[in-house]
Amino acid sequence: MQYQEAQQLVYTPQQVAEMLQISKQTVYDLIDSGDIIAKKVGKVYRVPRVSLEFFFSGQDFDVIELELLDRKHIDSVHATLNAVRTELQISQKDGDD
Amino acid sequence: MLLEPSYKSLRKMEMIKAFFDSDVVISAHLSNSGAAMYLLRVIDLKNISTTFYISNESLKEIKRTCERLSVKYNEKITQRCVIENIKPPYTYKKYVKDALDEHIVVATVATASKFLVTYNQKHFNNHLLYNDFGIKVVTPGMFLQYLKLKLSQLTKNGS
Repeated sequence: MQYQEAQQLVYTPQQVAEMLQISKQTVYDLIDSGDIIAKKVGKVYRVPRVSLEFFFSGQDFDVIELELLDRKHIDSVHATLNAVRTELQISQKDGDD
Repeated sequence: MLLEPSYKSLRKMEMIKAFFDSDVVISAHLSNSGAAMYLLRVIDLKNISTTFYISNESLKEIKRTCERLSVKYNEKITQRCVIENIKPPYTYKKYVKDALDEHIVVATVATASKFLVTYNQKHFNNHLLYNDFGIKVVTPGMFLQYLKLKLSQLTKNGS
């Protein structure tokens, strides 16, 4: 994928076909079936990046959103948890001695 | 809700056992609407055969970490999990990249869980865990996605 494509928020059906390595007709079929959410703008379709998340990550967008809520705190969780684990391991070793 | 519409029509479902790393349980304390808390609510639902585990060792670190993060420890969250008792010495060092995580693998294996749910996937030797024990190391989101898929497969099969 070109750098500019990676930064886009919406894609044409042609761009989606190239990214997913499928035919343009398949893209239209997926839009019809609801597997890709697209917006018709005049006579053409535009596909928002978020509706393609499943194809790139294997996760539905709503699942990704749930994880993002946890990931806001995860760095501080890991830093604190590591410190706690170290303390508990040291106190366990001291208890064994 | 992600899973609600499908599960109500289920008559049977295969048993799913998963071990929760401490970072997932702590995340559930920090965010009421994140993937970790959502997942821990799944076992509250009837007709879904999922068993989630933590260990006596992970319970200690969950409580202490919550205290350090100035978050009130919520007994109702950990009560949703079965507590597996383990004690050293441990012999699973080759399955972790950081020795501090060894007890998580010990308990996952002891509970015969097929999933280790963690936000710290990089700390585990995922390939070895899968090869030797059939354990898949997944994030809460990946596990939720898996449950969604299982539910849709089962409802499709008319279960």
